[in-house]
Amino acid sequence: MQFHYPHFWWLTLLGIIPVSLYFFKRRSRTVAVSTMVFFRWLAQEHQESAWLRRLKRWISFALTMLLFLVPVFLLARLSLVPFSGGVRNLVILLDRSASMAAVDQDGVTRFDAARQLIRSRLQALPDQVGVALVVYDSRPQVIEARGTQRRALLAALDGLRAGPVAGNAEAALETARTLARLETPAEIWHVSDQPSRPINDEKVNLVPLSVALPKVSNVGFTAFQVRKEPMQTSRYTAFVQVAANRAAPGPVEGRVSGKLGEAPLAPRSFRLKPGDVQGFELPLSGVKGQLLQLGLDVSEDALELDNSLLAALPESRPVVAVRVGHKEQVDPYAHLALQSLVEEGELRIWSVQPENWPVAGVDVAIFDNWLPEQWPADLPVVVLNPPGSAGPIRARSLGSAGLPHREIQAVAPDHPVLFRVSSSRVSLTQSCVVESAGPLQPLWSADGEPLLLAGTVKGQRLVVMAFSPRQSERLPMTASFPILMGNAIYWCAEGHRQAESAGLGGGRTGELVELSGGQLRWTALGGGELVREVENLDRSVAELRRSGIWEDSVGKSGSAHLLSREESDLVAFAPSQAMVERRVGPSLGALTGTVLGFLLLILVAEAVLFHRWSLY
Amino acid sequence: MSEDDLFDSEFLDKLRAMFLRLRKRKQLRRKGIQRSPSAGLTREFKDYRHYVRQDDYRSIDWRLYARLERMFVRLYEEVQEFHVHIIVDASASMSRPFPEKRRNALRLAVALSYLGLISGHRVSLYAMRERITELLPVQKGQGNIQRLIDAVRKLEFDGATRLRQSLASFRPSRQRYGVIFLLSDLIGQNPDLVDDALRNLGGWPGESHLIHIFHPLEQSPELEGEVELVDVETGEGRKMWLTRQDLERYTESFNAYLRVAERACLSRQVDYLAWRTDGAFDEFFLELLSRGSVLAGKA
Repeated sequence: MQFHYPHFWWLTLLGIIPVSLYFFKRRSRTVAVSTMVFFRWLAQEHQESAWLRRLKRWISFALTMLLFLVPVFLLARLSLVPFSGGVRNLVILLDRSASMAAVDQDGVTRFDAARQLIRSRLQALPDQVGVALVVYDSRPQVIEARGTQRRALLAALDGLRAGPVAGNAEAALETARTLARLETPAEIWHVSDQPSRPINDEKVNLVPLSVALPKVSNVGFTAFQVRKEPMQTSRYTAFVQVAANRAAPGPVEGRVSGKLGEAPLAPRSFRLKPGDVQGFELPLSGVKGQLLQLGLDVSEDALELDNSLLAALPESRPVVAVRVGHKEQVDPYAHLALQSLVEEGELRIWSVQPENWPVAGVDVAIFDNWLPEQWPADLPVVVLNPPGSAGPIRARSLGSAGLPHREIQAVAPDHPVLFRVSSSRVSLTQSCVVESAGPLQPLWSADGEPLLLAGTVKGQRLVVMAFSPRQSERLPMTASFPILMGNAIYWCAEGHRQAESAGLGGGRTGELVELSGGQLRWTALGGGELVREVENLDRSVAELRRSGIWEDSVGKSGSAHLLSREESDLVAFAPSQAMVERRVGPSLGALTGTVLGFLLLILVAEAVLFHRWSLY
Repeated sequence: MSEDDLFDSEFLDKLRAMFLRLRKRKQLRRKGIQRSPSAGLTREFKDYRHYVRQDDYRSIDWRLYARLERMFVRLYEEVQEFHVHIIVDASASMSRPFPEKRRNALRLAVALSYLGLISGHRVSLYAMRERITELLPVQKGQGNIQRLIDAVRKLEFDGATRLRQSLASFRPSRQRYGVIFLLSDLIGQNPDLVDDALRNLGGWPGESHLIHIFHPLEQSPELEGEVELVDVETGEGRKMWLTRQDLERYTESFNAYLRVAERACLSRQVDYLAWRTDGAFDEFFLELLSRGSVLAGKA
């Protein structure tokens, strides 16, 4: 507790007046009466006891003194905020990420609560302290540089709102710290619903101000992707993941529902314990451009921004793969499998001899029993039966006989390469030994030796099949082998075709995209209806700050969604945060109305005591 | 207040004017409600009239018959003579802290004495403190008014009132049958005994009137806050913290006391009249006499 203008304390000398009056009034006047018998009766019947009269007198005196002291308190700006003495610089770091849009029972968002908290605390701040305002979600943004114009800062604060973008508090804290160090000693008020990490800076004091709800429940979409079904026309699968926040008071029930175009999708129900995550595959049958709308129907959901998804089914351009290998060493079963994929029209296979390598304009390279001397740096690769080591592959051939395995183990059955591939009753003949250390992850193994590996090397995906389909007993003749080949090619091509992947799976809000033209058109869900808005751009790079489908002037399009586990995982007001908040306490600026009301109450009490009860 | 203020010429002129007004009021010409015994009865000649049959022949004026040879009968007027007792409360509470009570009481005593003397009645004046004592011997005749005024002027107001003992000690004889006026503030040692004290008024021979004199500030004192009260009769001191609510309760108890006194008088056929000292004297005096006093009837 401190006073911003302690010189007003001289006004307390005015308290001498009521003190003098108090002692002056102690002398009672003597009055001659002829009707003492009635006064004697009154004293016996109705007069209060001496201690009660004395108490009333003391209360009256205390009220009179308060009438003098409370205005002095107001003038001296009593502050209960432990604002460090001598601080000259204040940086307000305000979180505007998606979680700040969570509402309480009265419909007040955390951002509004934060704004109110800042406003009340600023009122208790000495005028000479410079204040800067920094807001952040995925990136920090300096709204107001250091200044003493509170009105401009508050006006800027009123114009802000929380958006569907994930937050990055680390970068924001660093920015705020840099601003704070411009003039020290300084203080940072970090206003957020998330816990704040401490900073190690002797000259900058970090004050975390939590606006988290004491009890909060939320379920939201945390992952979303639309895949084209291999070898099937106009068939897609939507992968969605929903998660409940860990601070939820109990299990949450709900359902995922939606529609493709105007056709409703079969809803999926779920029951999630706090912190649980559940994924769903939604088969879709549609054509390019059809709008897919998905929504969450959950009772007692605090955050609305993570409850809907909107995407358009993409155009599926055929993946172009080039198969490189000596003609006489090409595996015939692999050739058959690739041929079946080509017949579906979703894949184009070019076959070239090693001397014609490299080939431009392809999405994936398939090295069949052959490896190049110089590994391609910008192309994903599927390697069949590697004859030796090259690039990221460390392998040694086991000779023409190979090593047969009667059965294999699926190490990572959920990997996309093994999507709908049966790992049981598979007999393989290992053709080489591959070192699985590094970025490559074994998917199949037999007797501890990896037979199928996948991973990302220097930004490019790589799948290695360390077995010979020709010498294997069962796999080449089953339906799983073409699927495995197709998955491997599609998985590799997916990483390579970034632009299309945005259309297929959807990007995240907060990402930067290169755009052409001066406009960015948005199609978003608003109140269950599609809302179209146009955003004018003055630059070629735009940050996706909305949730929905975007399209620039030349037809480049994509979708953006929150899809953040951190933002959907709303935290409750932790005891440690509560302690911080209690230590901070309310400011007198926020209590001005209360103090004035208290003053009015004193006046009323004084009036009643003196004029109604004639208390002297 | 000086003694000249008490009975100045203006007051005496007003007194005479009131008596003239009294004579003109028919209702005051009636006899009083009490009948007087024969001890005070006199017969005075009034007129003659012709003798008719069945008249008492003893009333024929034979001297007139000798002179005029016609029979006339003498008519006589009946004249009643009363004893007017005026008792003035002379305790300290009648004089302090509100001297208006003393002035009004003495003026009323003089007015009643004047009325009694001018009507041919005998007038006795008493002072009431711890007991009732006679101030001066029985007076009769209009010429004694100055003596009464002098006695009243010398009356000292001090000491305490013992209402019950005083009223019990006053026993006028049957020869002094008449009208009794008690002028008092009725403030004694204990308000609860007023009913018992006023019981004595009913036993007095004749027509009794109680004039209860009090000051407005005795009824509604303005003493809010912390005060030290000192009783003017006993000197008793008491510190009190008076609120407005306390004073309202005080007024209620005082008014209740007035009602008790009035009820005690009415139940014993004693005329009760409360008189606030801020009321006009002449109006009150006429009001007093209009309540059926035999004194007024002979005026």
